[in-house]
Amino acid sequence: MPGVEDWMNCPLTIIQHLFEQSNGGFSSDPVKEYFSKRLQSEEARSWVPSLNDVALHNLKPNTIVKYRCMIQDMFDPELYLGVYEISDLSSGEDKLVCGKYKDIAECSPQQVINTDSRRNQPMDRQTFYCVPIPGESDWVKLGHTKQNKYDKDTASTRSRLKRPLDDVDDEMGGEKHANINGDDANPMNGDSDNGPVNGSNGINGNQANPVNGNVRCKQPDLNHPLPGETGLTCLVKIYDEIDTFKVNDCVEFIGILSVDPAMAQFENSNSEESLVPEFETPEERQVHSPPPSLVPRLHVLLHTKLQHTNPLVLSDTKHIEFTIKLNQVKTEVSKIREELLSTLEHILLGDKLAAEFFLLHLISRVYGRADVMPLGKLTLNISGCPNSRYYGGLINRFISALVTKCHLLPLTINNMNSMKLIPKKDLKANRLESGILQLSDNTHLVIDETVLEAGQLNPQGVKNITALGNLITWQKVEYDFTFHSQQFQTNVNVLILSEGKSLLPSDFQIPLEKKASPEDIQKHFEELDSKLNEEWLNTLRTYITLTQLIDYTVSEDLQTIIQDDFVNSRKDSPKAMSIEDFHSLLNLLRLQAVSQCQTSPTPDMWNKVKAMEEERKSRLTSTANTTSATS
Amino acid sequence: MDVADQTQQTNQVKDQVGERCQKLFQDFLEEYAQDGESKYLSEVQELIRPERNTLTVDFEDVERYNQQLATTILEEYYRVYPFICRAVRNYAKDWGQIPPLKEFYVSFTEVPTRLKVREMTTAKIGTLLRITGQVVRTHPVHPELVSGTFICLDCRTVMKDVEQQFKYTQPTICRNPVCNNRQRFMLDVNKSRFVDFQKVRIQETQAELPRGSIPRSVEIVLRAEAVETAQAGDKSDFTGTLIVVPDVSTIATPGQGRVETGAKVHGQQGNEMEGVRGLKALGVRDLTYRLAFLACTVSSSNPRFGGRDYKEEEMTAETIKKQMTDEEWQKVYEMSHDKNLYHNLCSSLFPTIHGNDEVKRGILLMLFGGVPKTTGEGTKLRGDLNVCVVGDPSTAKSQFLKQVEEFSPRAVYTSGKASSAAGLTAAVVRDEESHEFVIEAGALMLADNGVCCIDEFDKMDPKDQVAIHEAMEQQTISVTKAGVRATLNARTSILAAANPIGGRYDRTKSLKQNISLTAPIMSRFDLFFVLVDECNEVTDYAIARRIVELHSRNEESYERTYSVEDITRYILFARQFKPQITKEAKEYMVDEYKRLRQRDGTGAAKSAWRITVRQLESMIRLSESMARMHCQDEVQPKHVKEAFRLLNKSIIRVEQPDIHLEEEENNNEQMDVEDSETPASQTQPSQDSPEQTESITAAAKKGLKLTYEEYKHMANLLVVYMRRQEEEVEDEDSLGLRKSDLIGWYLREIEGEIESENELVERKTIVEKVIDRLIQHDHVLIELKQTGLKKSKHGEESLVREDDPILVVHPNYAADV
Repeated sequence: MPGVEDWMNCPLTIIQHLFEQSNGGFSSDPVKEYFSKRLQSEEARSWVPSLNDVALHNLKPNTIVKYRCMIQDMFDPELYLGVYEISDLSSGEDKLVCGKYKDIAECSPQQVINTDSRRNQPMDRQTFYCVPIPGESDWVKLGHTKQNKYDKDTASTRSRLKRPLDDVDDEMGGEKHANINGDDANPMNGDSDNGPVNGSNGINGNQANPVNGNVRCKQPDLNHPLPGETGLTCLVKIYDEIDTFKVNDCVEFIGILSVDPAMAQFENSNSEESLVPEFETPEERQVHSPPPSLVPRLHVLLHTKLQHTNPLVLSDTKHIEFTIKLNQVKTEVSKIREELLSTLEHILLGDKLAAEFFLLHLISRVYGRADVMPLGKLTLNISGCPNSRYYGGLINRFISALVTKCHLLPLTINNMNSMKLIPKKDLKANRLESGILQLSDNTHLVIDETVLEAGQLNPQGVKNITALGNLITWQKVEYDFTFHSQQFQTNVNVLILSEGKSLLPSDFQIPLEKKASPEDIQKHFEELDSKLNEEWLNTLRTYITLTQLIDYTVSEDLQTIIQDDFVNSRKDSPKAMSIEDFHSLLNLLRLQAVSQCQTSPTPDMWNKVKAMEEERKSRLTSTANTTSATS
Repeated sequence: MDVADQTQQTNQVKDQVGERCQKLFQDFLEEYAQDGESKYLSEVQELIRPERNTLTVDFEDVERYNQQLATTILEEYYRVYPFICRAVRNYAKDWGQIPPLKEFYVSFTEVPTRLKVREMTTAKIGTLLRITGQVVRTHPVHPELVSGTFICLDCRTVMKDVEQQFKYTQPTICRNPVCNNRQRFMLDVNKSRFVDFQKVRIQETQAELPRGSIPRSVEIVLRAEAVETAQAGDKSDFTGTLIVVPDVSTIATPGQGRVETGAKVHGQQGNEMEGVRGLKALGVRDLTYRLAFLACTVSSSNPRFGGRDYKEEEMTAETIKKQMTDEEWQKVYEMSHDKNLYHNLCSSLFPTIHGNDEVKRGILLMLFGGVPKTTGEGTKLRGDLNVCVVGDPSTAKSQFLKQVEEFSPRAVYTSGKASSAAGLTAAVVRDEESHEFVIEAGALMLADNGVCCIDEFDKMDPKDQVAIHEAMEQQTISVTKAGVRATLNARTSILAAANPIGGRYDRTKSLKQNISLTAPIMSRFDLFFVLVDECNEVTDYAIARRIVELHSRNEESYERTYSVEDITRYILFARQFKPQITKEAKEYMVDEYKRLRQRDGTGAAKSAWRITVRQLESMIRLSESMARMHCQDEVQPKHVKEAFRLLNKSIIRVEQPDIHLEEEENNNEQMDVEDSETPASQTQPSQDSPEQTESITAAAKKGLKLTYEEYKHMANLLVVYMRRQEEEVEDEDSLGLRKSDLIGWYLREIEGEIESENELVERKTIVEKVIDRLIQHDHVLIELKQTGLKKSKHGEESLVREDDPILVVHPNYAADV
């Protein structure tokens, strides 16, 4: 596409052109307008190479790329020369150049950048440190890659960039190997992507080493929230609407790639420098200006906040194709639901009720907050799980095949004592050190408590358990800022697998009633493989993502019925239905309706969820009785 | 640009604005007088001492003296600052000998422009402003080269006064026209001037932080006397200006406007390295700079509820008002005139919690707080209110706490289960890097001047409960460990939530028996509330409607009369009032207190111990808090009335058995008895409705209802009579008092009060039941059934009453006589 080539490969020339047209009164509007016009269609966007799946050395610097990521940290605003003057030495002419969307001012050998000119305009911009979306399932990554039409192999490379990049690649590869080896040694791990406790030997392990004198050789810690993740991180420079971004937002940025090696920072060996105190410590410098070959810069032209990252569903919910897809799912919903339930029943060893709860759990999300109380979450605690060390991993693998983001957290004493769950501000390097609980919205967290054994928790462990508890109850994580802690809202679906009642709080505890007890649990799961072909999985994936986006209302009539129900059941004894129970029921009702692709529930559904709760409660009391009888 | 040229330029081109400022400022110093005396003369004379170099100037004085000068300083601060300093120097020179190399500095206070950290943009560079932030990192103090004297190594020419700004700057070329040296210079340290320099990093305060954003930070540059005034963890105000670093020699180029400050690049530093860095020489330049804040004044601020205050006593409602925009002030004004303020605030604070209005009111008053006082002997009386909420699991307890935490920026939420004593108070820990001992702040310290919300208070280790004793009453925390001894402030209100023993609140039992808290801790709470899931069709409907609505829509559907920001601002404002208790209020208070004591008492003087001074103090605090809420300067009887009502609703009054124990040591025995007696309150109708205690209510289903006070009163009467009887008959060989005799005596005693025959019967039943109870439950009386042969003939199985047994008082029982 020759027409595309032009603005995709030389955006800075176009920006400079637009700048000259606007005659000094420069705002970013014309630039944004220009590029959004060209990138309006999905088709055009699919031609833009993505940093997520094209290797950095295959991309040309100063071209347009896109990047799907989560904002991990927000750095302080920085000042740059939005407009600067260049003097031509040969002709003696001065010329104004736009300094936006680039890190480095360049000019030809005959020209000089006139840094003292009065016509220079300093401006602000902000830098976000972005990481690939933590816990993103493989199928999501693959799906996005497939949609991209950009041919990665033909892209030319700049030779001078090549060498350092290859080095980096090797190192990264090496690290991957180390991880895989670690996984092999650890039989508990069902899925190499979500291996347990790589924290000690994975990327975070780097932090444990005290900073040696030789900062130059040390590979910077890339600060991925989840241990074992290796994707490309990026420093994203934002020019507009800075305040609309929040930490942990998932965003797709389209912007100009900047990897000029001149940005690499070197240690100052100049001794005279010490007479005047320095403004950046080596730690800060390393974090804020990592080598661009490792962490490229992206100057944002356009951005889209992602409600979901499912490649099978359009990100724009207002788009006509989205509605078509939704209607398509609606027509088949009962079949999809049934099939999914039967699959869930299979992995839950034949428990129908648990399967129903599991389904509702899968499609739940926090849709609102009544002050401090999150609404819509459904934290499920499946107790009485089979005593197999593979079960958690298998369940996790199953979930990750269905949902876009998923992570398995084996709750062992060792993990709790050593893992970093809570993000912490590193005041020395002035950045936010990530923790496992720094997750983007709608991430599924599977906590495997079946691997827990008795032991001693250290202070870190207590903190971690508390953090998990707060996450579940309030959907909030308190980030540690040393002198105070700051709460950040989360929207994480938590599933707890345990033998008895979990030590963590949950909304619904359901003891598993096993109809089958297969000897080899792995085989039991493999039986599903034939059924779960790619096409069927895609239907399920679409179904789950779509149901989460359905609007929901309750009709006046049903509201009255529900209210009467509440009052009547409390008449006899208030214990029969507490306010808490009522919240739970309404939550279940919503999910029940949504799971059938309905925007409003019916009285039948209300009766159904009541029956579900009743059955669950009777199970709880019966298990309580049996345990007390045996003890 | 050549530095040597620059200096020449300085000499040639005068910055007229600067010069004018210098003159005006010097005039200001000379002329500005307060109470007929030159305000700054003595302070300038102080500066002659070698360790001093900074003059503190109240910016309001400048404004009063010359508005134009003030505006120039505000807008062109960075440009005129050196001139102002020069003015101080000249002025000081007039009054004393000063060493020629000594530099003087000015530090401005009370600067009106206040910005949030987030609001600092490039447009603000160079202007005088004030920001607030939390100091998160301090660096060691360095000497900074202000102005260097260089010697050319080739021709020995001396170049004086090469201005240095944040970067080491050599002259680019020797001043000697025949010498072409551009690189080889030597700094003459003895002839160069240095200043103390410290770098500090501050972080956006929680109050200013938009939700979901990472706090921003700014590097602060402190110089001269301002160094070492900020400590990590402090919240401080910084006055100064935003600058760009590295930023070379701008001070030496006056008259170029402030864009210059942003337009300097760290070129020509002589630190170019080979290789990639050499690219810079090829016309490639990094376009980014750092922003920093050059502060001349550091003042610690003490934010509470989002704003700041100086030292408590300096803060007045006026200063708060000044910080508000007109709109904000209007809202506050409106709120203070709201007739329904009390109710509206409650419902706006807890829109999603249904019912439990008394608890909401209690918490609201806690946020306003009472007035702290210091007695003549210097004892501090706390003004903060402590509230405890007891309730079944899954009532809205935690939600109350979370809500308060959410609402008040200076609140800490912690769980008793998860925090050790260190986590709650403070701990001495060894720093991993330096191996020094440092004090680590606990939740209580972190909530200094705020609210500490402690969930699962009862789950706390008893040792830790003891640790917070001090915090609750003295409002300090003492740490003595590993050679570190410190008393730290913990001026915090405590909002605690506790679960009843056994998970459910047993209404038939007393509060004391329902929660596992020690008496001393309990007595330190001003208000105790029990959350009960009450059943009532009308409220149930209302609750159901709201919850259904909440779940039916995607948006948040509850309504608030006032927004959280409004309330925060209002509380901040109202807290500045220090209401005095009026005469009428005082009398009313005395009356009420007397009434409480009397009603409480069992007739004998000593037994009036259950309502103590603690409750009186609580009542005063609550009344003050009520007055504050209405922004009034005096406490009126109506405030006392509400305080009294709330105190009554709070069940602390009913169950306050062990205060006595704490004050007198040898009363263990009594405590035991009291403990064993407390179940008596079973007979009490409802613990949070003391109004009913006035009369003895007639028999209900199970038996007779009797308030604890009445019961106690009767028991004492009986016991005293029996003791007396026992003493009288001691020498005789009497067996003791028979039950029927005792009843007879009692009825005779109260004869005067009885009006009808019905009542007599009623009273008789009551006294019988009381005696039964004393025997069976409290074991105060001992029943002797088989004292003689005559009695045993009737057989053991016959009823006690028929036996008419002989009663004796338990020898260990100490009556409150």
